[in-house]
Amino acid sequence: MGHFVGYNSAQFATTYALSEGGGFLLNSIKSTPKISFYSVQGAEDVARLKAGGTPWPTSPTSAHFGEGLYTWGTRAEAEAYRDLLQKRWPELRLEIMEFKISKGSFNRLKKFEVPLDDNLANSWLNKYSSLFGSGEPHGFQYIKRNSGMGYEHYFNKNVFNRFKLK
Amino acid sequence: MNRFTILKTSWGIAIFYEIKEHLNFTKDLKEIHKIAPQVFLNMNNKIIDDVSFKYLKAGIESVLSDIKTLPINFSIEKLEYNICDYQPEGMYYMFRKWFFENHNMEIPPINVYYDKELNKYIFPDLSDI
Repeated sequence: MGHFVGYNSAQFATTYALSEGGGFLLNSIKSTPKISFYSVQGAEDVARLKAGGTPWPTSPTSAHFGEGLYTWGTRAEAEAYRDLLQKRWPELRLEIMEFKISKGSFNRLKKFEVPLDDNLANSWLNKYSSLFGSGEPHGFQYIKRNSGMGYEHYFNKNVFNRFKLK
Repeated sequence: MNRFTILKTSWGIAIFYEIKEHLNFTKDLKEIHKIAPQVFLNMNNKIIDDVSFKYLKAGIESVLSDIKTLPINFSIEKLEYNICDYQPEGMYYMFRKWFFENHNMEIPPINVYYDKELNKYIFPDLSDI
């Protein structure tokens, strides 16, 4: 898989604690490395996601890989997307939500990246995306796709509980 | 809803739509746009950006010689797209697809290619619009 700008490298915190014998014990506590993804949402969807996500949108224009969380890999991409939406629909009040997932959880997801080869991409999207095809079940928990505006990162609704909202 | 798509890479143009044509209508409808003498467009409060509207209007203008009954009002009942898989030129060809299908006519081919460097679909026939 590609790299993610939102990735926070492992951080180590060194702490000192008083041991039973009265001396100092050095503990190295390794915090869990996390990956961040950014989603642009209106007020109703912000509330929905904060409450667990249901009911998940199902329309092809909102959920073409199925029910779940659709995100950008960087805040800059999310901002560009938000700005474009607000330019076209000024009445929209949009918020960027940052979702974090541990690197371990992310690595265990069943992943797929839409091929960069045009013919292979077309063939796959014509079958599994409801924007372009029949939207057949694909069985993946994570899909990465180069959209017209950058990389789209989709997460199946069943793994939403592995995220923490910042 | 009907669907118009162009897909030549990992992203494309996808527009979902429902259009109706009315021969008996009142011309003082709110949101009605005059496209040509006796040819009108009703957006039904569907908000689209100016460039998309320009291409939609051009799409209607491109079929004027094929319209058999006047006056006529094309009513956009539903219109949905995701901005990640969209270019405004799609409105031009979306309307033509609907019109020719709706009148049992052959849909003319679309002259389009994907420019990888620009990351954009190019429509040579629309360069003057």
